[in-house]
Amino acid sequence: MLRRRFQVLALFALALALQGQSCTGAGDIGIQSPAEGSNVTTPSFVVEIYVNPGAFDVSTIQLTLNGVALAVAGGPPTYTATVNPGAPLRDQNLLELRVRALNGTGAYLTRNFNYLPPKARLRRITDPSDPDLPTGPLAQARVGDYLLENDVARFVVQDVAQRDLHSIGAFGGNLIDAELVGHPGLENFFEIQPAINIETVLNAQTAEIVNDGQDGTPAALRVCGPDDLVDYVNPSTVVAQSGGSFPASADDVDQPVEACTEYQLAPGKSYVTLDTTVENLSNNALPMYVGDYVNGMGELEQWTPPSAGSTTPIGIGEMTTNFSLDALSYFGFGEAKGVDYAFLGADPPLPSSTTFTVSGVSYVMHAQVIPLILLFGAPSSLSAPANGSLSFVRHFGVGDGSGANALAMEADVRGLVTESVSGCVTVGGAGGAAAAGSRISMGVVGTSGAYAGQLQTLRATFITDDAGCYHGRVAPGSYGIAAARDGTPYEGGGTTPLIHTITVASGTPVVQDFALPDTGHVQVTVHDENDLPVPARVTVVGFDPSPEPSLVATIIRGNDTTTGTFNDVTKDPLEFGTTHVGYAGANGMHSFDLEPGTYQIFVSRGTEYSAFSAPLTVGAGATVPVTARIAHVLQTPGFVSSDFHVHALNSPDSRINNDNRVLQFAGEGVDNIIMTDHDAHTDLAPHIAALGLTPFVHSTIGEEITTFDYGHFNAYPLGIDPTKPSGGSTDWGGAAPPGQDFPSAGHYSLSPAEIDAAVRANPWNTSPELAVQINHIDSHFDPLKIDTGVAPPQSFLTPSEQLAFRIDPSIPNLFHLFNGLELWNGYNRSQELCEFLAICTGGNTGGRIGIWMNLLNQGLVATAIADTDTHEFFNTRSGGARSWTPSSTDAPAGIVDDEIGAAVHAGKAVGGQGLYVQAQLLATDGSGGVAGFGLSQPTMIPVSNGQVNLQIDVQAPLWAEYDRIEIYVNAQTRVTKRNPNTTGGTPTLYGANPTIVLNKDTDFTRASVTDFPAIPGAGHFETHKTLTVLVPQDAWIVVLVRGTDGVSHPMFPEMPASLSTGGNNTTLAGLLDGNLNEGGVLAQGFTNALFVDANANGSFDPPGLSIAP
Amino acid sequence: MLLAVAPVGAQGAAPTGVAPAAGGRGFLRAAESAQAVVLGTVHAPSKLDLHGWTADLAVERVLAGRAAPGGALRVAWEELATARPPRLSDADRVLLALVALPSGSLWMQRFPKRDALAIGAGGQAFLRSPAPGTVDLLARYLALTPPAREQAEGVTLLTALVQDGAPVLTDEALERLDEVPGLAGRLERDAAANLGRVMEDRSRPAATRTRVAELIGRRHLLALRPSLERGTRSGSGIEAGAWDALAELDGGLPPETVRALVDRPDPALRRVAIERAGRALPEERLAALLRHDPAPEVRQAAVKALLATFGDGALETVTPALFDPDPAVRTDAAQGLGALGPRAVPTLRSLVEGREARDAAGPIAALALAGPEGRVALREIADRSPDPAVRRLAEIALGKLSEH
Repeated sequence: MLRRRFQVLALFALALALQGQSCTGAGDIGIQSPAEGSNVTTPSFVVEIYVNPGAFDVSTIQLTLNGVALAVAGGPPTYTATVNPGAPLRDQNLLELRVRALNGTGAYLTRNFNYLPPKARLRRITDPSDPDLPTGPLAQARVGDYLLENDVARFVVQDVAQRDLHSIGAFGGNLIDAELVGHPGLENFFEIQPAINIETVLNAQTAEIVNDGQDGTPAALRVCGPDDLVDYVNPSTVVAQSGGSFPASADDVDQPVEACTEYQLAPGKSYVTLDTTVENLSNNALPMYVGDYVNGMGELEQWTPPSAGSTTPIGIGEMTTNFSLDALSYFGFGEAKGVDYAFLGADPPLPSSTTFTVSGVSYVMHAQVIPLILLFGAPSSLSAPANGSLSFVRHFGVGDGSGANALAMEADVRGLVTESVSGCVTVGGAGGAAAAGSRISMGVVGTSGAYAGQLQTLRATFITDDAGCYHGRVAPGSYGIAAARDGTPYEGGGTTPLIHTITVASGTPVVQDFALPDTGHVQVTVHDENDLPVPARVTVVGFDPSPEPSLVATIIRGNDTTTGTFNDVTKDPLEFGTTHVGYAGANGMHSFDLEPGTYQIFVSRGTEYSAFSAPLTVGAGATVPVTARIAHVLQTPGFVSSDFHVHALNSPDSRINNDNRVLQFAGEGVDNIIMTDHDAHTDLAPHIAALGLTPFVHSTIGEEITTFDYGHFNAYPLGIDPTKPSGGSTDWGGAAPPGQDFPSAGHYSLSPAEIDAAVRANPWNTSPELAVQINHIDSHFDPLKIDTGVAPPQSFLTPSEQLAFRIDPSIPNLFHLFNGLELWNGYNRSQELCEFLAICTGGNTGGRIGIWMNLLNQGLVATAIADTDTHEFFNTRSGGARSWTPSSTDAPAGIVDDEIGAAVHAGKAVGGQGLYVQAQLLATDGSGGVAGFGLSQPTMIPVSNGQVNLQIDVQAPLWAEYDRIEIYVNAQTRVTKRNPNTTGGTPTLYGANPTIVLNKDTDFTRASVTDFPAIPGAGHFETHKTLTVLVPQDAWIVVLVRGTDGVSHPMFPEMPASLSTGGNNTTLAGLLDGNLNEGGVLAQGFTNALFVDANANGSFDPPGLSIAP
Repeated sequence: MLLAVAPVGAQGAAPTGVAPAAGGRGFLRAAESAQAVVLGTVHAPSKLDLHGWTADLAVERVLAGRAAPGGALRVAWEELATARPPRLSDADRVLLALVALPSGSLWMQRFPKRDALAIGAGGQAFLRSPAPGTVDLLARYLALTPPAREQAEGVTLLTALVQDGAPVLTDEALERLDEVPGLAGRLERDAAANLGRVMEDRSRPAATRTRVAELIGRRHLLALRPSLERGTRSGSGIEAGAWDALAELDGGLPPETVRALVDRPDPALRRVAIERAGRALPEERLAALLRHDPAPEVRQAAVKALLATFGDGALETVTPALFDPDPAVRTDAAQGLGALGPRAVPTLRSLVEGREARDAAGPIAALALAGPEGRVALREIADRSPDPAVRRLAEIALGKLSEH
């Protein structure tokens, strides 16, 4: 057949060459459509030709499209060929018509046309300024990545053969960006990493454009590679430590597999299909636990829509375990308002698919109940046959901001019926102002119990646009629907949402409007002692008249599984007793809506500033102006404060955008933000400049190196590697050749010492003063079973335990002396007392101070750091513990990053929350020696008379009381925790016993000083105490100052955490009565160690361990 | 367009001695809608790009579709695994179900004239060295119109494929038979005989014979009841499967049969007895099996039977299974007890008290599956248990781990 066709073509070619293109009359033959040079804009179209049977042998008609034969129908004389999307269509097309004439000659006609219906396209990114690239705070696309786009949405798949350890995104070939066309600047999604067997994922090494989309069918990209460990997580160790039975077949196992994921985008769709195939290269069936790691990471709220028909109370919030997965929805708020993302589980649905979410990262496991695997090692329900393959298909989409889009996507994928629901929200009653940013929730209304008459489970959730309107598509049914807006009463003015009942039927769009009542408005202006605008925090104390109903009302405390009706009420809630927290920026202005009522307003700026306080009564429709003055009442010349541990948007478990993070720290009076996102380098300087906050706050680039099993490590100051989306994270997981990142292949995660070396080896980290600290140090010493109570400190992990952490089991001792130890990270009562000082209640264990002092007793000097480890916003953790280090300037704008690192190298830091403590050692032997923490001061002095004077200087604002000074001199420690928690367990955490205790009024005076009489409250407490300390041998000395329960008042609301929620604190008056002995956070501060060289040999001779029996 | 290629075999620890793809899966379904089903000999397989392969096929016989015996076809497929040898080798004699080339620019680059056919079922629709009998049967089956394939003639040919086809086609044919509406009414004597012979043929794999038994039971093929009965005889090799199918066929097993089977040494028989017992086995007997039977599959069956038969009345009896040494038993117990919801929560909650983490995992898992009330209890445990390991387990069950 082929041979015959070639013979005919040859004949035509000869005929044409001899006679030209047409051998008969023009009316006898023609291509009727498409027209020459025309644009075909429909996906399918008809080619129409005319061949006069009186002039041509119609049995010889040959019609080809781009060289491929088309089947023609009809005729004579008019023939048609229907062309559908697919091969051989392309953007520019050539139709060719060949027919033999009855006179023996031939005819050859051509027609060029363009095929330009709405298409999906795939191309590799070559221009970094490509206008089609998604933009926004988490947009990661760069040259070499792949762009899938249609007229609705754009998606970016990262280039393959990448290694950049950042959350779940260590490898390339994954979805990293998604944007709705026409909605730029909102990219807030991090990554989806297909998983092969819980702890292993696809490490894509090759990419192929399977379809560039010219033919009108879905554009498709295929990435393939071997399996490798996902270093970021290691659930098997968590399960083992808890007594569970993780499946051995999924514990760091290098399976004989290769895998591919094909990403497909169809024309007109706002979602991508992910089709992953795992090829089993063995001769045996291979059970596996397939799934996906999904990390939204951005300024997103997560909603896990319950299955249709479910009445399980599920609202908005990060559902931990979900047993009936349909979809995961992430919708933006704040700066990300107007974008949402949706991940749809396996298609067709697999039974028992579940999700498991920790720290912002969700693991979606297909056809498996995750807790049963983690607790029992439940057998896998999916397997790839011998020398066969296993495939699973999912979908990921992007929308315009409403959670409802996730269910609309599900309906589109699964062919379910939906109908339109829309409406608008106004404030001030019907005809009032458009209420942009209002939340609309719709779902099943409870009929009994706690949810009677209220929304019990959500089936859709919307956010209104700038016009105050919402729209979406939902499944037919009967629903309740209600609206809410921050600072605004519910419709009808009640204490619970007013529920409208709507019935959604196919073919009948539903419109439901909401008219919220008028609300109050507050305008705050803040000035400092020089009458200049100053950034500050505005806190409103009181109770929300219409609190948001939660959907698991019976949870006792912790509320981690509670979800909200309109908002995620657990991820970043206000502290008890506060009903609004906001920040004035460089202009000292902050405006906000507040429900009518009576409150108390506070304006503060962290530890170094006085606080403003005034009653606040707000009426409906009224605007209340508040003019506040605060003053800088603590003097810290030669020192600047830093928060050494801060997270924001680039951390998988922090949703706070970088602008808000900067605004908040400026308002809390922290001079320097050391930005330490998990495995990422973030530069806040552009945000500081853009907000006009350069005079108020500085930033230093850092990184929290985040191992899964053996602790986190902050490094600073660092540089940024522009070639890496993470900015140049430290690869603590230990890069290995593709397919070989397994301990069984001899490739391990880095040991602590190796991590320290790796961060310094990064060529982008050029600071000579680069410092590394261990964070929340119990999470390092305890799992590694490092006992600092032996000399030298020693880790006591067995080789198999070490291997389980993916650390080389041949390393004999994992102890490594880092520059710094984060003893106090946080802002609340437990963090300052239990974790730091080992003063614990309720069966909790803590004890970091004794670890530090064990090391000091051995002459292993590391700098103690106080900071916050802040991830949230509204809990004001950023105002918590901070550290002051010596500086050549007091102006934030002039802060020198290297001086911060140098201070940590030199042990020069004092920490506090509400308190600023300094200490100096003064020689009494006539030498005139002085030791202190100043920039040019030594921290050690030689003495020859066996004693030294210790000078203690304490300052605190009037809202931060203290009553106790503890002095530790070569202090004794005590064991507070063993691992395992048995008599023979390795001691890992230690408390410490103060050597000297001084009490207010008995042993020292706390003077009250008025600094600015014209400004109420603008004064401070101070204590200057000098005492003689006997030092018969070399000694280290640490000073700690704090308030104690029943003597000092807690710092509410300047430091609002941990206040008792009972007693008389259920009223505004009760909240404002000082709260003595009602929990809360007490002022606290401490110094690092100063050293006495008692034998004047020029060095510190450590006293040796002293551990209480 | 190939954009980034690592050398073949360079990715990780590629296992040595990797076999070519097994193939055959989906062959029958692909053949029924293929453009061509042909028998031929492979020539000159060659690699087109990272994953694409092509070969010439000298057509020996055409079972269906457009092709000519004695002619040549270009066939194409993909090997996604770079470490795997190509599925077709030079001189292989293969039966292929061929479909149109997939759409997309990559396939257009490979075959600009689209002058090749792709192996169907994603490259799986091939059989190596097919036996003549298999080819003949397939040819006869494919010659039928689609409706006729579900009538008596087609059904008979499918049973013949079960009996005489290649092993991979046996399973495919059984699956296809299971899709035939009103199968029992379309199963003629020869067809029934074919199935009966397969089921009673001890030289065949027990799994295949059991699948036939299952089909007989599930589709109520009464004509094959005698075969099933013979299958239940001791030494048949498929006793359990036959008893199970017989129970399906008859709507249950007589109590005396259940009692007899539950004492047999073969654990599969004890399992079937329990699964088909209805109320023939008292709670005490089931409880004893749950406590003492050495076979996990029997204990699993006992868990399910106790809960299915006695509901929350079996709560106390089943809870010990949460501590069973076998994870599958524990899993079934946790799922079954969790399914009881609020009724089980107080008991499960009490089982956590005073236990070490390893033992508490069972009741904690069940609580995780017991709905909102179970999760409330888990939250209490996570907050209040004196044992940090137990608290951590509860947090795992809640999907909550500590954050920094």
